[in-house]
Amino acid sequence: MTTNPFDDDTIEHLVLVNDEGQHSLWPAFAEVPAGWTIVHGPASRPSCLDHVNEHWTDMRPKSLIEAMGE
Amino acid sequence: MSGPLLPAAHCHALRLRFRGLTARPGQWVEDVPVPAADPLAERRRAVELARPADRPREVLLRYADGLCDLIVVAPRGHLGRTALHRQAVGVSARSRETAPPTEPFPLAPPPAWGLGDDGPGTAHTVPLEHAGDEASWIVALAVTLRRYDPDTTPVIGTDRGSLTVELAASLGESKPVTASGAVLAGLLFDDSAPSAGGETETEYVPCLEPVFPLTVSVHRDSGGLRLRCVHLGGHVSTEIAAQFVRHLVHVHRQVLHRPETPLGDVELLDALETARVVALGHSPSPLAGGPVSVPEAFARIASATPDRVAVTDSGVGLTYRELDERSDRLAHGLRARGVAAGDRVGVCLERSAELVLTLLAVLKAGATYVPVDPAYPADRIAHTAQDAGLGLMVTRLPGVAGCTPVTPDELPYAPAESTLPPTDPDALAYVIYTSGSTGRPKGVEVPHRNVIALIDATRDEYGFGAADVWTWFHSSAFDFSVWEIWGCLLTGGRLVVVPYCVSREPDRFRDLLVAERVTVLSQTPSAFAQLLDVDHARIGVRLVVFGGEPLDARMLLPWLDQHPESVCRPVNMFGITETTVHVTQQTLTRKLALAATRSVGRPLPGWHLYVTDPAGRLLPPGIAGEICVGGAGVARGYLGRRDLTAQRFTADPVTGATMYRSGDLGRLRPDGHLEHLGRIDNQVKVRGFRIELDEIRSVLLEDPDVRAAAVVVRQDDPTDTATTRIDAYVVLADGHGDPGTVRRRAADILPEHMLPATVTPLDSLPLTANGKLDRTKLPAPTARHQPTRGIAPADPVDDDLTDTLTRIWTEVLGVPVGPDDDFFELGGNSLYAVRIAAALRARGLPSVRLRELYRNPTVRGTVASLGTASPSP
Amino acid sequence: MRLHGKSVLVTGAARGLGRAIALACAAEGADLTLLDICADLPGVPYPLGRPGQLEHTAALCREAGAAVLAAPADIRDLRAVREAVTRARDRFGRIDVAVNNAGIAAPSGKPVHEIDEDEWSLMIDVDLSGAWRVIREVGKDMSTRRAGSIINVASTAGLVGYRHFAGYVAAKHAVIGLTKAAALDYAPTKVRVNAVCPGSVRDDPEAEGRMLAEIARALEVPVDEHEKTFVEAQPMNTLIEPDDVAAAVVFLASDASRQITGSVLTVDGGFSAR
Repeated sequence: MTTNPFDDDTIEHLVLVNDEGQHSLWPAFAEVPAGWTIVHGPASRPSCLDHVNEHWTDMRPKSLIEAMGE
Repeated sequence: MSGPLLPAAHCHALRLRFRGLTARPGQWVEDVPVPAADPLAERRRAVELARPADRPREVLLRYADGLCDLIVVAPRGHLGRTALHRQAVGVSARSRETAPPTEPFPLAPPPAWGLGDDGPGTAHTVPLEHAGDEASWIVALAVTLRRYDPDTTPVIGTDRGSLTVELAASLGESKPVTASGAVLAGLLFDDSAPSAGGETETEYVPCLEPVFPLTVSVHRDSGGLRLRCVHLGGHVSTEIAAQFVRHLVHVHRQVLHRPETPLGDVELLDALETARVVALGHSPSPLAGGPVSVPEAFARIASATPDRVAVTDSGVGLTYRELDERSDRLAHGLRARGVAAGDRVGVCLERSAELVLTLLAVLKAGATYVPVDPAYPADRIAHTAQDAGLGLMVTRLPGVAGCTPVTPDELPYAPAESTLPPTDPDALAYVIYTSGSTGRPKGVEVPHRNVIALIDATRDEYGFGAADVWTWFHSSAFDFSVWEIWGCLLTGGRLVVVPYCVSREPDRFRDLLVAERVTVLSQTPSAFAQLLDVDHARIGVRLVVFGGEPLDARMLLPWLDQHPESVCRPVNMFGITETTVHVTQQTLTRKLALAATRSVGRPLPGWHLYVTDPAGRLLPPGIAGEICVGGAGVARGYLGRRDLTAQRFTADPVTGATMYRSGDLGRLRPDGHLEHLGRIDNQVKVRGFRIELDEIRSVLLEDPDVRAAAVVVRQDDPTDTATTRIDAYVVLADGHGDPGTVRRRAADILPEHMLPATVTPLDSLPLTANGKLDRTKLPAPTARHQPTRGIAPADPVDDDLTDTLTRIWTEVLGVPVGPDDDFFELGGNSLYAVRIAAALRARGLPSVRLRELYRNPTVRGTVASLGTASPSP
Repeated sequence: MRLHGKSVLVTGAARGLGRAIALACAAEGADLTLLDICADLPGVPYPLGRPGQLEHTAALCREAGAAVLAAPADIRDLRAVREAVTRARDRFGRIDVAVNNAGIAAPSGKPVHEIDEDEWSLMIDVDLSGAWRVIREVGKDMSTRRAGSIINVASTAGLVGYRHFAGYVAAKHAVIGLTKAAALDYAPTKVRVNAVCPGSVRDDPEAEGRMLAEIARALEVPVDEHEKTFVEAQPMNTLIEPDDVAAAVVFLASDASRQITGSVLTVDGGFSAR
């Protein structure tokens, strides 16, 4: 295995989100770490990246968005 | 080298404890004058159990308390385990008639993960629950070895020959098959439990010396089922051997109880081991302090020591009060021009006090600064402005495409009431651009709290305070400057601006360090190497922080000669822009420098790291993998690149936050220190600058005349980073273009440090069987045209200066030089330029400013410009 | 524990210098094979080592934590030497160090022309050929294993002459020659051969040594004043202690001297430097 799974287009991936709203790509075979939930997938990598681009509109942590009164 | 290694490796031994035993003929009897539990008795037992024999030997140790030990030693080929026991209890044991000859086998060299240190090979013995059988242990060994070293097929030795286990779908389908090849690890399996003969305790030693460099044995004695591991210290260190055993046992459990497990899913680390490895990647100290904004932290310092000088620029000092008040006015000015909280403001100024003022002002305005180097090509500046969505750029450049320029003079504004808002620590402090592999740089977004964490993590360790004087040497567009500026100003020190021209002339820099009594010097190793070339004895810094590129610790020896450890503390910090400048810290001692250590130390308090395998799993010490960094330094992500952010800033396996996958190769040591081993991909460091070779290649491919391109980095002299060079190879469109033009077009887009030194045209790029670029087949680079070496040039120039310059260039560059040869195509770079300047000064000639050299990169051109230029400052 | 795990063979180990050497090796973690004639020799005018003395040396070594094999053996008898060495190998697996310490000081005290055939032969047979026989039996195996250290206890009488002592002097000179020759034979296989030259060694009562007294007697120096007489001849104004010589032997036995071979380590308080 020389390709890092995060860069591997041939395997399925997930999109994970934590409570700050941060998004992470994740290989479908790997155990989902504590504090993160699946919001998309298993799906192809391009599909997951599209989901990220579409849904992660604000990269600010949720706590900051709230603090800024938005 | 071939095994078996030593005669003692052939032998096994058995100890039976009795309460009173009559000696038999043929036994050697030793009366030991202490009780059985005495340390002397321990030593005697240990010596007898380690003493090899050509044929069976029985030694009866009689202790002072009436207990005795009968120790039988015999070659394994003469007496098996059971026969050994029978011999010991007096039952006649027939030796094997034909002792199977132990074939010599080739010994594998020490593995990289073994961290072999030539220490003693301490035996590790652990109790086992389940014996399994020889096959299950061979499978477990093979699977464990493959995880430790995925690139090597494991050949496992036994007394009857070598075996391997081919990759199968699951553990249960994995079977040992005979094999040959170099042996690193081997197994001695004997779970027979010979019955008692009146003895109260048995101890069995399967081999008196390691049979294989890593010898694992499974056997039974009165204590139960045991796994024992002995090893050669030169191949595997004691800690790695102990860890290997823990992992092996865990893998074996899976072989026995979960045979359906696919090989790729086998767990190397159990929960306890995982916790241990995670803890190892943390700093031993906690992070003190809490998240605040940079302006708030600055305000605390400014109110504590308002009259101390904060910034010195060309001899002129700005106090903390002045810095505070003037940056307030600038901040108000920014807000008056519509800068709102969360906006990004470009700052494109020369290194100066006004640059510091401006950065602070942007932060006070609640905005995020985006530093841009005014020396960059206009195209690059424009790209940054556009990518960052800059509305405003504070600069003295006449115009910047796509945003409104404003000079620092135009900004100050003092309203009746301060309207500067408090800033949330989670808001962004800066966006710094780093080389991007897809053709253009990407912006790393770093929040205030990360900067504060960096200061909190280092302040106490290094005792930073008001007495310190820091240099600011690096471009504000490189995050090493974040360390220099805020490390200083947020701890109350005095920041000395190092003007560009001084930074390029080591003796002037040295003079500045002495005159300003600098105490904290931050340098890339390449720049420091230049400082070592001048007389540095009078420099009185107390701390040198290295960053930006790998450090060869041996280069410190001449420095340490003049600046002993009691006076100056050199520290190497491995760092990444995406995790806020620094990750780990390693104080360098003379001892470490002499040993050429590759350690970059342990993480800063608040930062933590993991080393992961290609599948993203945690790796234990010894095994090389990708360095992943979590904790207080992890940036928010890449500006406007959510998909890239999701790929590089991924879920931390433990904390629920994100961690950054660095793409750097590294390995943990059992003491928690990280060894940095290079890059996994095409990112390189050239004299401290981080460069994606793919970015350069992308730019070349944008050239309409270029059909294909390859970019490599070469270093002719491994000990001299000045000889590091970027070579480009292009396949040009038929009849179109020439390398010189390609290079000139690239110079409009790429900054100087990313410009290829050579551009060599090829008919086609050499490829491997897999269709990838075959670097080994790239020819030596050729210059743009035949340099006029030794041939009389068209216009012979006949004066001393030309002669001298030619001779100097020839000396420094190591190649023949003609008057119209391009400096960079001859292999020149900024480090060589410094040497040429030094050589000129040594001859009492006016030194050539680096800018001039770039503008007129030939001897003829330089002579002409020297003739018309005014005396250099 | 500079000799930890090493198997050391010492001849003449029942008492005196042999006992001191054995004890010093035991203290450094070695296992010991102790040989001594344990009998008197007709041609030697004083009592030699006794079985009880050999046993005592063995007991002291055991107290120090060593495993010990003790046996009587006459080094004039090649077969006896061979048997002793074989037994030692059976017990300990190999011999790492051999110390040729056994030697007689008399018959002496006569000018050259008064020494008869038997007296001359005896001195050579014990003091020179004894060392040769032990080297002969341990050397080959050491060579095969490419590890080993042989130490011959010679004397300042191997460096300079003494009146009325021709047999002893000749034998001890020859021991040094043997040392150098054997050193060259074994150098390619890393086995080392060196000599220690003690000067006037005090007879330590606990070690039950009596060599110096017998030398005095042979030289017709009054025995009850002999120490005082010998001391006056010493540049350092003291006699050598057996432990001083034992320390030199331990050094040559240990890996600290692994590049030292064919050399002579003189422990004589400066006597032969004049």
